[in-house]
Amino acid sequence: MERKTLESTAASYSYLRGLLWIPLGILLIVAALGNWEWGPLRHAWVFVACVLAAGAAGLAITRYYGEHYGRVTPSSRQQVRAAAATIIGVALMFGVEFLARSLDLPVNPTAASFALFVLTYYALTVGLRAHHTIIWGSVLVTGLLPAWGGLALSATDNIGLVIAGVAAIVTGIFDHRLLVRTFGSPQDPDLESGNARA
Amino acid sequence: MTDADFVFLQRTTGLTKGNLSSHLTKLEDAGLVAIEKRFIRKKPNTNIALTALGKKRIAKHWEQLEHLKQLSGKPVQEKIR
Repeated sequence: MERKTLESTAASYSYLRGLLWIPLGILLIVAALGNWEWGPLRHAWVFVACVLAAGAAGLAITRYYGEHYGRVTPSSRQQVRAAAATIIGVALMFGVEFLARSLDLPVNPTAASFALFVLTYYALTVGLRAHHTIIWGSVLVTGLLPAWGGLALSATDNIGLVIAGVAAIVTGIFDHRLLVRTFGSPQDPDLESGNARA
Repeated sequence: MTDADFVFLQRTTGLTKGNLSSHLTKLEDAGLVAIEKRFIRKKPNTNIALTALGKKRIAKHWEQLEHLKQLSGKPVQEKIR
């Protein structure tokens, strides 16, 4: 295996644990439905319970990946790069939100800012894969289309949350499929569940 | 990466557990990796980290491989000189 391939495969592992995207995506959709006061989600405590459930699901998924694909600590250089990507992504996200709202632009700042964050984060860490570019590029274009002017701001925000939530779930499925293609099936018979050799 | 566990290395290298275990034992004996056996949620887990010497040696190894790769790309006459 080439050095760069080996290094990038190891580095991309943390980012390809796609199932982690799914609770986050569901949470974004639940937040939008809560804002619309849809069914039981009109009660604030239901959303809090959903956040707790998403946290528990996140922990269970992290455990699943640890047991089936192993654990790895990224190098300090990779950790610094991830932190810098987060800071830049969040700054861009708030920048887009601020600009769109202060200039009263007919765009969807929620969808556009989420898309910009994800695209920036992946581009600065492990590089954008084709599915990231297609999914989040589409969300960015949809968010920046000047066609949102006729809607109330709250409706625009909630639709943006739903779009970002669906995009997160789809990204997660594609990332997980890529992980399985790169590292093998989770039910690899040769892997020792005990992890105790050596 | 700073360190990784046995399952991750098995996934990345595609080696069988016996084969990887044998390689790691040799690397540990040479002082190139540090192996720590621990328990995570009552399950045994083997963590492997490169030592300072290991990092130095692996950097040299990649350097030599790159050098060989460059040499293999050059015409035969040039290599003889």
